[in-house]
Amino acid sequence: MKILILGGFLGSGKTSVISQIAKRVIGEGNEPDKARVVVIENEIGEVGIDNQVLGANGYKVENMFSGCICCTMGGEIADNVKRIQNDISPELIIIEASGVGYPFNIKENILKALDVRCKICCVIDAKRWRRLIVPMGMILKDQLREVDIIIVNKTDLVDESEIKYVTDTAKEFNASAEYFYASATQGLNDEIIGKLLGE
Amino acid sequence: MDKSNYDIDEHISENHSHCDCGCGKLHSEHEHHEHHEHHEGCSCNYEHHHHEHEKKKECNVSISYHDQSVIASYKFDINVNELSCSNEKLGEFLLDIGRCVEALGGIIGHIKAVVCFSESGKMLSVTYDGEVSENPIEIKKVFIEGVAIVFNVDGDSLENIISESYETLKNKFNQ
Repeated sequence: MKILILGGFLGSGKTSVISQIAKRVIGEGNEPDKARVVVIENEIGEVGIDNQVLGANGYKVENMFSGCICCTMGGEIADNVKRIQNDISPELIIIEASGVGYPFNIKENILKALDVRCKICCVIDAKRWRRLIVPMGMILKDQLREVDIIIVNKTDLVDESEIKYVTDTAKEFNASAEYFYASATQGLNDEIIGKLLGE
Repeated sequence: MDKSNYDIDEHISENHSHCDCGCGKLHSEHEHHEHHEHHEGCSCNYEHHHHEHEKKKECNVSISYHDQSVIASYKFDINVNELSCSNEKLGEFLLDIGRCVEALGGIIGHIKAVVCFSESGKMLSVTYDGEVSENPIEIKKVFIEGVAIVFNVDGDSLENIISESYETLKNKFNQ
């Protein structure tokens, strides 16, 4: 079983990326095997939104609301992963961090309790990055910490120079990650999905 | 208690019957509250207490905090005449919240809503004769629940912004 932790600031497009990955893993035939992927949705509000979006597409979604699995609900995430592993045994668990959560902390919380393969991907909103980088700089920096893959998303909404600015400034926070560029609502290419799935 | 003089009807009347004022309290519960004289025309033989019935909020907003963010979770529903005209108004509701947050110098994390539309419902009724009767009724309604996560705005201000944006939206539907 693989675990993919998907982080990124609020509105960066995490749920759109998850839809693409889940669709690839379960297949698109007449009888897709939806139990092959379980999505754990963490939202800090009392009302869940993304779980309803993913659930409406038929994906198996486990909800963790009203707290953050990188800190206040740190103990519960490992328990939930363990339970899903025992009860469902999916091929892939995708953990969607809240938009203010820190993916590396989530990875640490899981690895404290479980011996599993865990990869972190972070999604960046190319359109809002410049606007957020000063007031939200600390959050953005910590969200990119120890991330394996960075998807610069919404590239269809900005020009080349803006993509270069986003890449250059993001690399000041994390230079070792692999960078990919996408518009998740229009679909992720095979190379990106392959990387995310460790193929 | 002297069981020989015990009157079950009296006991029920005093302890387990509801007050006629419609407050939903048992008479026995009244004893725990401040009392005052009956209102005119009340058929109940007990003194009434004073209590406030909390008005149910039409737009339920709850505020929480995480790290630097302020989180408002909200829920409401609105009766509408035509569902087809809803989208633009609901979009404007979210934009309204965003504009107000930015006007206060705040930063929008995201403002999201899930909207459900209903055109019909049914009334179910049980009269203790062993069956549930039902009648279809036309109910055109939108149900909205959502979350606004923002920065640099205090919780009270965010709650007020959402409540006022809801009032604006409601007025638009009532026009």
